[in-house]
Amino acid sequence: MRLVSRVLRHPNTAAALLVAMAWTAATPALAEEAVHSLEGTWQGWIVYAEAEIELDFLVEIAPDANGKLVGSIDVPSQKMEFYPLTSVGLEGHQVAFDFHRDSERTKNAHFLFTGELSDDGTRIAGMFKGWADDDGRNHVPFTLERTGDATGERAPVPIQPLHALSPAGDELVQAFNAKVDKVRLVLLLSPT
Amino acid sequence: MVRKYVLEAIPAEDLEVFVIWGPMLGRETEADAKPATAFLPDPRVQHFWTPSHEMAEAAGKSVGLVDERGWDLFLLHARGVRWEATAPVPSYYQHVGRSLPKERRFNGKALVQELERLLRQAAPSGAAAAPPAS
Repeated sequence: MRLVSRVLRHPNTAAALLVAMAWTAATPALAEEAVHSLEGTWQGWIVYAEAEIELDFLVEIAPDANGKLVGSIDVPSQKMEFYPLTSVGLEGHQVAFDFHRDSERTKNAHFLFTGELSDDGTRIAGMFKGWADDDGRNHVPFTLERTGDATGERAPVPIQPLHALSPAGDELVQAFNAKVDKVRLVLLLSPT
Repeated sequence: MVRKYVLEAIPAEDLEVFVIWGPMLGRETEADAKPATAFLPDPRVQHFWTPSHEMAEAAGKSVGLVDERGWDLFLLHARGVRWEATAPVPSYYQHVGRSLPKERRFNGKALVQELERLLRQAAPSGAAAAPPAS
């Protein structure tokens, strides 16, 4: 079972969340505390070179039965989904979370995010230390925006229709010319 | 990043995107291409799968590659350009890791700038949509 789902479905966690929500609605100070929190779903980018090499990723954080923050990370380009975070921490506005994973060169390599939570609690910006790109950069900026609550769920993957192409590409040529009144962008890519 | 810098940045309906997924590394299959289509879920995007390199070779020639297949290319074509016997020379292109000028390496912001320039251009006089296939 996915880590965060397991956390969220624990009866103690559910009860604690209900109490917290009631107190938060009644108490402005507690509402402010809710803003100053890492709990939720966050989406963003690891930026090796702006507009050139960026990895999109998603982090989901929630408290476990003991109130300790736990979480998971998705990095689609690395085929990672619900990958468990080793640790999650918030001290003041300083944020840190990490995971361990075998890399090409290192077994159980350490991947670390350190950053700062914005005053309104909607954004985290900082530095990521992990995969190196072709130029050897492995300590690069990242940003995350809060997009919702931690649910342990993912929207269905939007698989699109895929058309078979003959070697000469007749189907593409026909489709290309059918849109002659438009600006057209043709991409030739590997799916892996 | 094409989704971030192109599709999400440019809502224009007079943009059409064609993605040719293929065996750039020599081992990809159609089964790899199907989930990859989810990276570009936009009604303006048409996805194609080819198990051969002919399209990449044709695309490579269109940007001046010699003895190198044109995988990892981003080819922009203005209104009115038609694909005839050979792949048309693009109005603008970018690449990743090809033997092409470094200033044409993929950059989402530069790609969008060129795309917006082409969108502002009217179609050449006399250009019209191809008749629907019979």
